[in-house]
Amino acid sequence: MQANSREFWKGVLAQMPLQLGVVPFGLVFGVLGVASGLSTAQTILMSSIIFGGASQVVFAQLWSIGASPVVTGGSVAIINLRHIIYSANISKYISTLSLRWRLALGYLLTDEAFAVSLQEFENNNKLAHYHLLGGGLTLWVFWQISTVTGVLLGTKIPTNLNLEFAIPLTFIAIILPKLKSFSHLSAALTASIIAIFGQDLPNNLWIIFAALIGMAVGGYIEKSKSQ
Amino acid sequence: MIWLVMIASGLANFAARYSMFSGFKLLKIPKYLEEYFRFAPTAALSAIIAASVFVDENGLLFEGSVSKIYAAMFASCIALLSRSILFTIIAGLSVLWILS
Repeated sequence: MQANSREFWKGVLAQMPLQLGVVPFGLVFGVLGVASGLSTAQTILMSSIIFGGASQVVFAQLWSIGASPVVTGGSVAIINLRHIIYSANISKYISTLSLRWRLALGYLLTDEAFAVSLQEFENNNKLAHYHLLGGGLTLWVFWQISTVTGVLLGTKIPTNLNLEFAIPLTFIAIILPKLKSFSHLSAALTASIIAIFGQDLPNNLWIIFAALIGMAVGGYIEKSKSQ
Repeated sequence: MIWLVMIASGLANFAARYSMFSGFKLLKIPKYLEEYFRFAPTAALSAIIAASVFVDENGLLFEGSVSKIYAAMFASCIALLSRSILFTIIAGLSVLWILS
């Protein structure tokens, strides 16, 4: 096997264990998308158009409670700000590649793919982009299959099971293990309090305010610590 | 309308991911903003968790939320112990179903 395809398959393999988390998340999104009033086509295609678990769930959630397009789009954009950081982290390796590579890797860059392939880039592996491509594509395929499966199951699942509560539960599983520092805890608490007491704001603006002020508090504490 | 918002969100998402690959020298985020951006997922997702747990369909605070609060608390323990989305969902929903 050639070195570059070996690197690609290494990326695929490295991504496999993470699918244990990706598949249930995709199933949940598929079920919830339909439950929150999106059509089958909208739910399934969103997994290719947006291709981001948290963003898609937030989109479905906000759309179903009648949030305005600006609030829905704005919230998704805020949640995705972190990708700029990922992108910046590996840009010096990737910006020398051809446009085709950059577009493909840009589309496939997710939390999981970044987490798994970052080490390869940092070790100055010349073929690390094949690793990222393998990991990214693996995640993409699993994400599409689990979304479709969720949509198919969703229409057969009774509505009184409170399945929509799986959304906050999913976020708890993602966020809680990350709250290891005072700054992260403060960001989370600030955002939560604003979310609860800002419910009367028009157009569901609570989500935007909570996210921005939570970010500001977390960043401020982190900075004053390092000074 | 929903398609438009979805495509716009998808493009915004792609723009964020692709941003630093473009090679444009102008697109360099200042160091001081990076520090804030790191907290974006934590802040946004915590807000959604809090609203889903403590606020019900009528927008009332805390009323009728007791079973959701217990479910979220138990799920949090499981999340910290197992770090698994699947187990966290199972734990939280089980408590919710038992209590309601």
